[in-house]
Amino acid sequence: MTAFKTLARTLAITSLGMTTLMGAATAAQADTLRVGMSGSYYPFTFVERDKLQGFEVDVLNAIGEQTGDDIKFVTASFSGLAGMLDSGRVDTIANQITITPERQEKYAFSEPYVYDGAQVVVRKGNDSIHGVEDLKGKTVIMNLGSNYETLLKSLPYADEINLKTYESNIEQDVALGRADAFVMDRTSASQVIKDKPLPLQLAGQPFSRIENALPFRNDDAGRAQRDRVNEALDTLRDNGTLKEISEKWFGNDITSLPSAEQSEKTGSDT
Amino acid sequence: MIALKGITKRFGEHTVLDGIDLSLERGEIIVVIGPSGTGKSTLLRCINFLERPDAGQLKVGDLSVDAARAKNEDILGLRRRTAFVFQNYALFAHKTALENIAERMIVVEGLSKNDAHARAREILERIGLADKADAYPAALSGGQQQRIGIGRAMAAKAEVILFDEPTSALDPEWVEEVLALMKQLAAEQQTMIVVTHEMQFAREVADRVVFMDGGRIVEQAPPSELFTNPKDERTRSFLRKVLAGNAPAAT
Amino acid sequence: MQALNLDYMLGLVPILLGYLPLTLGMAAAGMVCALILSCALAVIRVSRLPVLNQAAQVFISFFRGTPLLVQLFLFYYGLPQFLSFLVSINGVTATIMGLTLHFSAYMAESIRAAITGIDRSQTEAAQSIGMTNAQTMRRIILPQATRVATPTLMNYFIDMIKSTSLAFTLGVTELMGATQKEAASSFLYFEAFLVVAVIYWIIVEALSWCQKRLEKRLNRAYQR
Repeated sequence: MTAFKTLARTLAITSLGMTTLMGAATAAQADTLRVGMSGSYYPFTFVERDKLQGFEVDVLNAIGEQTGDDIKFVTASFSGLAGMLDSGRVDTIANQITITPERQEKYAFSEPYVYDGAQVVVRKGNDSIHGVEDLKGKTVIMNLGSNYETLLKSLPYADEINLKTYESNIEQDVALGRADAFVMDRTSASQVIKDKPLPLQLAGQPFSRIENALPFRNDDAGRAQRDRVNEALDTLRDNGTLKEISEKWFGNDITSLPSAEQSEKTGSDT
Repeated sequence: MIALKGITKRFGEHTVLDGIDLSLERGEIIVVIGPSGTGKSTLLRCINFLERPDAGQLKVGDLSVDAARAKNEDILGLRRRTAFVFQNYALFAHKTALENIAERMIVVEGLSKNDAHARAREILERIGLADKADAYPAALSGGQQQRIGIGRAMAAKAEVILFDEPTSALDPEWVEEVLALMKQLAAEQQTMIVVTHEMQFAREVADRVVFMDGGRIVEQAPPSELFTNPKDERTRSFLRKVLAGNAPAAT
Repeated sequence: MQALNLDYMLGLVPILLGYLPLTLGMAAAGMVCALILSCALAVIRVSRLPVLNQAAQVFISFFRGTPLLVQLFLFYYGLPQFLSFLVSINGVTATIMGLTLHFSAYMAESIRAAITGIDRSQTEAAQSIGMTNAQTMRRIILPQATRVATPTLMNYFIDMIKSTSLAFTLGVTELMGATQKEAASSFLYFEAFLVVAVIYWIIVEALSWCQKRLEKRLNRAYQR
């Protein structure tokens, strides 16, 4: 009997607590932008000594300063992020999300704020792979839910590539030799190789241009948020803040459309 | 005071009890004997609905029940007016000797734990196991366990205690102490029905011996009469067999 | 190969320990709820209550037959698309609910096995002194079944602690999520996961110690 009483009391307290939380959540929603990110994608979003930081964090905070919104970051494993956006638990995802036609059908994207290329990365000393054309018969890994999978599957010889998707730690598995290569955006790949103690190297040039933007739910509220964010992005681009943040993390500007010669180089994916 | 009328029990096609009529007075002691598989245990189990009779009337004390139409409260009523002593003791394995005896008083009678334990201690005194109050069944000998089992039945203050072969599972060395306790109860005029193969006990203690065969009562009489002058051939044949292995008792 | 980065590991310990209360709290809450639910399920199954028994069977079959991660995704991301009020359930609550539903299905079967394993004579003895079915279950059968089921249930609890790591997919940063994030930024995978492995190990060892003491207590009645 005592056990039941205790339980009843616990349940009562829990439901009380939940009501309070729910109340808080709805009230805060008006001027809070909830941003989902993996917190595991160096240097865009990562946690060091328990502190969430990175390029995306800085950009979103700068956006918040412009719009006056409170920015609330929610970290979840990458495969959970889309679900959080769909189910209304976050308002957007800042995790170097690449614009693709499929995603555009579903989400309302902000304008791009990162321009980059998809990059093949191999273990240091691996001289048999010089780019995407050498991936035939190789094991290539990438993050679950990333768009690189679609990208590789659209190659004419896609059947001959052994594609695997991971929840995390793809860099580690290539460094260990479990897979021949991983595909990532060039910027973070270069950064990983420069900063981290893993034996990795870039294999050739980027093979596809990618544009990153913030996806919002494609409904009235989502589009309204998107429009406000776009305005803020314009301002940040014009006053040089985006460039500044990019140079802080990458040493160069990845936030503006590449010049003609760069697009020639990155456009070699045909 | 206890009256059974037309108690019938079937297991599938097999009729185990075929219309049993039996009645006994307060303080009367009945011993049921008969060949194995003849329905003696089933009869006991039907009286408190451990087995549900298919037909018949039961009257225990002030409660009359039609077996075929017995409701839950009837069944509980019968069980609360009877007590049962099992062949394999069936003590509650997670409870001490004292708690085994006190359990019914707490749960069924609603006594406080203190009162129930005080009364359980009195019973432990009576059955000579006061020093084992806090022992768990696993730590007791077979004889001690069965005496606790009888103590648990005594605690019920039931109209009748039903003994289902209480010594059959015991090592021979423990049989005597259990029979002694039963005799002590008999001397206190406790109403009881005992199913047993202990013919000596039947002779000494029973007011009436009931001989069962094939799911029916063949004959019943005071032991002096039934053992010396059985009327039915089946009774004679059974007694010859069991008493042959028991020479001193046969004289 | 490079040497272990001990400074990094030592620095990580207090950070990760900060997430321990959440991990243990979710597991403990999940265990309490799962114990209650699984006992109810087991009793329903054993007593073969009509309709409820079939419902319990389907429940157990579903939650044993699908991975916990799938259940969490269905529950946390899938259902709110149809039942919008479910959005208000936060990740911690959803994890606890997920653990409860998933593990109660397993635990119900263990408890049921423990109940049916109790000798029939115990039930008869309880009935013979006039206990109702509910009294028999509560005072005689369940306490004895508890002893039989305890080692298995403790194993499920340990399993549950480890399963809380899935909460990170629901946006709850607990012990494992925190480790993953730290490792992904430092790229010191071995160091980070070694630290978290040792933390889990110590917790489980501590629990095993408690389990032994508990079992000793429960077995007190059965020593000759």
